[in-house]
Amino acid sequence: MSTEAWRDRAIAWIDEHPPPTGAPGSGNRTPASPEEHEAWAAWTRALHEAGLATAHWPARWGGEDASPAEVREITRVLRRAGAPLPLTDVAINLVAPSIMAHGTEAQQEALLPGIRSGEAIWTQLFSEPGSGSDLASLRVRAAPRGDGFVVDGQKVWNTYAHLATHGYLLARTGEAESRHRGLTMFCIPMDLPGITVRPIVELTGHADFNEVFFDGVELGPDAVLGEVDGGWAVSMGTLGDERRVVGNLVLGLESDVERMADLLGRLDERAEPYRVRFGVVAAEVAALTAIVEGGGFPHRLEGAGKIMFSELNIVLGQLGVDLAAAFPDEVPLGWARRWSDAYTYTRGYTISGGANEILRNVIARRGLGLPRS
Amino acid sequence: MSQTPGSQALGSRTADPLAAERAALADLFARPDPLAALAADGWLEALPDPGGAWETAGVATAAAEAGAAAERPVSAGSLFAGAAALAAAGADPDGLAGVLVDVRADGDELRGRLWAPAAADRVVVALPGGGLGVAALDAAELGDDPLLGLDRVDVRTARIPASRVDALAGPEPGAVHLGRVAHLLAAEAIAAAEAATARTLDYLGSRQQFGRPIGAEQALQHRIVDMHLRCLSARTTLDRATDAWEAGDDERATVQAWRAKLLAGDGGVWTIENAIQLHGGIGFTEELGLGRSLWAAQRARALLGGHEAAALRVAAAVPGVPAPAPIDRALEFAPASGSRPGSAHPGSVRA
Repeated sequence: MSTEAWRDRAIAWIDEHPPPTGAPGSGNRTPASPEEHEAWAAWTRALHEAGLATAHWPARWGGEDASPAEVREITRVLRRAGAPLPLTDVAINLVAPSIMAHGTEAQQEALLPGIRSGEAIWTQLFSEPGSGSDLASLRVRAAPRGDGFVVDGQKVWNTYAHLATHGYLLARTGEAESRHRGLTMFCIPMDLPGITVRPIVELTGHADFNEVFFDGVELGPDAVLGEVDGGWAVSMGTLGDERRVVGNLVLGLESDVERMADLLGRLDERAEPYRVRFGVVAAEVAALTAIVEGGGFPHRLEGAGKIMFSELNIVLGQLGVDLAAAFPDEVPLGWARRWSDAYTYTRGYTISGGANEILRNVIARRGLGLPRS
Repeated sequence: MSQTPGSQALGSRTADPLAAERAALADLFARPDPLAALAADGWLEALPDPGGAWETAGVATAAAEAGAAAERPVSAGSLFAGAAALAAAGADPDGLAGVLVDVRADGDELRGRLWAPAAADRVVVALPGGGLGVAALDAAELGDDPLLGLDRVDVRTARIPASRVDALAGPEPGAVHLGRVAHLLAAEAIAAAEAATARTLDYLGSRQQFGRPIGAEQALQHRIVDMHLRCLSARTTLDRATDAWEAGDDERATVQAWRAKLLAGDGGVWTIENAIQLHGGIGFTEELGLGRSLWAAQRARALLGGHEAAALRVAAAVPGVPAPAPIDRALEFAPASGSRPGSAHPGSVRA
C-alpha cells in the first residue's frame, strides 16, 4: 500500500470509530470508570482488528509490513482526530519488538497473537524504589528453583499494571553486586499468585501507574526472554527502539500545533503576542519532525529525541494553558480542560524513559566523548 | 544614477548602469544555495576583508560543504550584495554593493539598515513587502546604527530618496526574494553556531582545572549537549529549505527559510553566548573571535524585522493562523511621491 492508501484507510476507520469519550489527547492514560474502560478497550480492539495498530508488523504475525512513513501517516490521522494512544501502546512499541528479536518460536506463538488482537495489555516492570535512573542496581530477585525461578521484591512506576494481563519484568538472577551482568528479562502473566498491584495517584489526579509487589511468585523456564543474565541487552533494545516511539510522540505535538492554530484563527489581534510564542514552538516542532522523518538523530546524539520532544511538549502545554486563561470566552471549556490536563501530564515525560538529565549525561559521554564526572 | 524603469523594459535598454547587478543577482538567486554557490565560485577568496571582520568562522561550514577551501567568514547578506556588485565591476572592490534591509517609507525617503562593506557605493534594497531594488549610495545618507555592527561588520542606518530606488525585476515574487535573504542570514548564523559548538567541545576536552578536563563537569556536559541540539534543529530546517529551493518549490522553501532564520537567530545567539561562557576568560577576548560569531547570529535574529516578525511569519504558515499584518505594515514599502511609472514588478516601487 502507499502512504495515501494507508491515510485513506485510517480516515475511513476513524470516521466509523470516533475516539472513546473521556479519553485525553496524550499519554498512556487510565479510563476514569469501568464504563469508560470498556469503551476504551473495545475501541483499542477494533483498532487492532482493522490492522492499524500493527501495520508495520511482518505478515507472518498478522502485520502488513508498512514502512515507517506509512505508520506515521496512520498515527497522524488518529492524532488529528483526537484519538488517545491505544491501551496496547506499551505492548506494541516496547514489548513486541523484543519478543520478535529475542523470543523463542514457542514464545512468539504464545505471546504475539494476543498483542496482535489487542486483547493483551502489557506493563513494563523495570524501575524500583531504590533503582530509578540507576537501573542496573535493581534488586528484585528471581532466584533459580528447580528449572524455574521464584521472584521476590517490589517494582514501581508501572504504567497500566492495574489493567495489565502481562508483565515485562527485568529481575536479578545474578549476584547482588553483578550490576547489568546479572539481570534477566521475563514475560509473565499478571494473574500469578503472589503478585499485588497498588495504583499510585499522580499529580494529574489520575492513577495511571502503580507499584507492584512480588511475594514468592513462581515462574517456569519458558518465562525467560533471551538468555539468563542477558536481560540488559534485551532491555537496551527496548529503549533503543526510540525512533518510532519518539516519532509517534512528535506526531502528537504536530496535531496539538494544528489544534492551537485553529484556535488562534478565531482570536483577534489581542492574541498576537501568543502568535509569536506559537511561531517559535511551531518552528521547533517542524524541525523535530524533519529530524525524525529525515532518518533520525545522528548516532552521537542518540536519545536526544525524547529530550527535545518532552521539553517542547511543556512549552506547548504552557501556551495552551495561557491561551485558555487569557481568552475564557473564546476557548471552549473542553479544550481548556484538555490543555490543562495535557500540560500537567507533560511533567511526566521529562522523567520517564530515562530522565532528561541522565540522557544528557549519556550523550555527553558516549556521543560526544567527554569524560565521566 | 539610474532612471531605468522596471522589469518589462530591462531587455530593451542599452544604457543601464546597473544591468550587471541585475544579472548577477538573478544568477545568484537562481542557485539552490546561494551561499554555497558563492563559496564554490571562489567569491570568498575574492572579497576584501574590511577591518579584519571576516576572519572568523562565519560561513566556514557552508563554504566547506561547497568544496571551497575558504576559511574566511563573511556576513552572508553583504556577501551576496557584494558579489553582485563585484560581478558588475569586474571584481573591482571599489564597486562593492551593500544590501538595505528592514526598509520602511518615511515621507519621500526609504529608511533601512545598510549591511555592506565600507567601500560600498551602491545598495541593493530588499523590500519586505516584495521585490528588490537598487540605488546608488551617498555617504551623506548614512548614519550609525544603534544596534548592529559591534563586530565591525558594517551595518549602518541609511536614508535614501525613494525616487532614486530602481525596481529590480526578477522571475520571483518579492516574498520569495526575501525568503532567500532570510535563508542567507540563517546559513551564516548556523555556520557560526556550529563552529563555536565544535571548538567549545574541543576546549571542554582539553582545558584542565582541578586536575581534570572541565568537560568532566556535568553542568558543562548538559550545556554542550543542548548547544548541539539547538544547532541540529536549525541545521535540519536550513537543509530542508535548501532542498526545497533545489526542487523549485519556492513556497515551501520560503516557509522553511523563515523557520530556519527563527531557529538560527534564537538558537545561534544562545549557542554562541554559551560558547563564550564555557571558554571562560579566553572566550571574552577579541582574539578568540566569538564576539564576531555572536554578532553574526544577532544579525540573523535582528534583521528583517527581528525575532517577533519571523515568529509571526512562521505562525502564519500553519493553516488557520492569520497573517502578521501589523509588523508587515510597519515594514511595508508604502507608495512614495516621486516614484516613476513603469516599475511594474509586484511589490516594487510604484506610484
